[in-house]
Amino acid sequence: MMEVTAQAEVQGESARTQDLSAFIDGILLGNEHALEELYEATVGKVYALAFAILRKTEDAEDIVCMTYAYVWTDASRYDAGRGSVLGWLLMLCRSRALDRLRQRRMNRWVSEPADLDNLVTEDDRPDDILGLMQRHSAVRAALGKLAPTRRHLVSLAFLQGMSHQEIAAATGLALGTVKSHLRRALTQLRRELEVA
Amino acid sequence: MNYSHAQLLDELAAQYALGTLRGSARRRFERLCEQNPLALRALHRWEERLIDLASGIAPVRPSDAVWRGVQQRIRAASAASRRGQRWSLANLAMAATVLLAVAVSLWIFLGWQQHDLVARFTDQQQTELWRIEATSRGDELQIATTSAVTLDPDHAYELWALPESGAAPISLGILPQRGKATLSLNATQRQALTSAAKVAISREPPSGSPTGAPTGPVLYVAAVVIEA
Repeated sequence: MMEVTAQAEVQGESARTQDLSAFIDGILLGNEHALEELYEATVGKVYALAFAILRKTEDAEDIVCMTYAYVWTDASRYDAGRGSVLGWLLMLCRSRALDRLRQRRMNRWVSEPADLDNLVTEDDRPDDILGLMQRHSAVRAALGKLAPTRRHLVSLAFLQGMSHQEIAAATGLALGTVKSHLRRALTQLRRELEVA
Repeated sequence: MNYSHAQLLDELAAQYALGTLRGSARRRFERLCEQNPLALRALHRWEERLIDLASGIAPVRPSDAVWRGVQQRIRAASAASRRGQRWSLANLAMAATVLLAVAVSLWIFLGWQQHDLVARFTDQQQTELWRIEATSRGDELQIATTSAVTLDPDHAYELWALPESGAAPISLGILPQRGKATLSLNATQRQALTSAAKVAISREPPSGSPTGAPTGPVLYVAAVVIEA
């Protein structure tokens, strides 16, 4: 389990509440200091997500570097109408981390093609998603209300980028059961977060 | 499949955002989002919920080496961009030498105003808003505005050159909100434009930025392209 420092908790709180769009404006103008301020305000969240997916410090750090380097060169792609700056950063980070995870699995498969059963190793099995969540947060409370099996399936999809079929293979559940559990889990999460 | 069914759209959007929708079904849903605003709205709602999920993760501070890694990457990207620009300029200069006699003849004969530096500003849907061309003498900018520009009588759209060195942006003037216009450039502005890889537009008070630096939000950024 990752250690969460008090400083990082404060930083995460600041990232949620602070208006980060001024930093994007600065980055668009080529101001490196604006990128540094955005990094300081958000890196705790971005790194935590990368590590939750990849579970290897070196890989997680590399994905964080890739994410902020992309923000520097492509800040104009941020669309304020689609959501917050932090949300954009997290989605950039998640997609890059999942790509790295798939690449890691593919490399493993190429080097040991017969070992299909062990394609997903202990290294890339996610922690229980509930344990990763910030204490007293609405998301943690909503996830806590899910049945453990459903929460595990959400972890596999969200932190492992697994398809329905891959989840069925990894858990031994029938494909239809996986689909229905995930559908209900997401619907329940939506309900809980909307009333939170 | 009946895509008018709100519940079905919602389920597909959830699976798409989570990443469990794969292959041809994923591509079909992408096409659907381009045509069906309800599907797109459902997708945005689910993306927001997943962002909630991601942002709920307790933060962890990485080592200081990570910021140094970010700096190395962005400086390498800037250096590559400068090298590319120098290469383009070198090729352009070589081509210009070869074609100089012909070009001068044409210039005199036809009275053409040749345009070298060009920037196109587009919105998120890639609809062109402004097209900006610098004459070969570099002392004027020809601006063409499309009808896609949102009229804003309470504000001005101000154009800025962004020096690649990271120095402060230099104002190039106020852009028209309709039709065409010509902006005259002084020596400082010409120098700033020549050394800029990008130009930007910010929203300012009707008479322009009162401080000489952008004061409103940066609305658009475009690359400066050299057209031979």
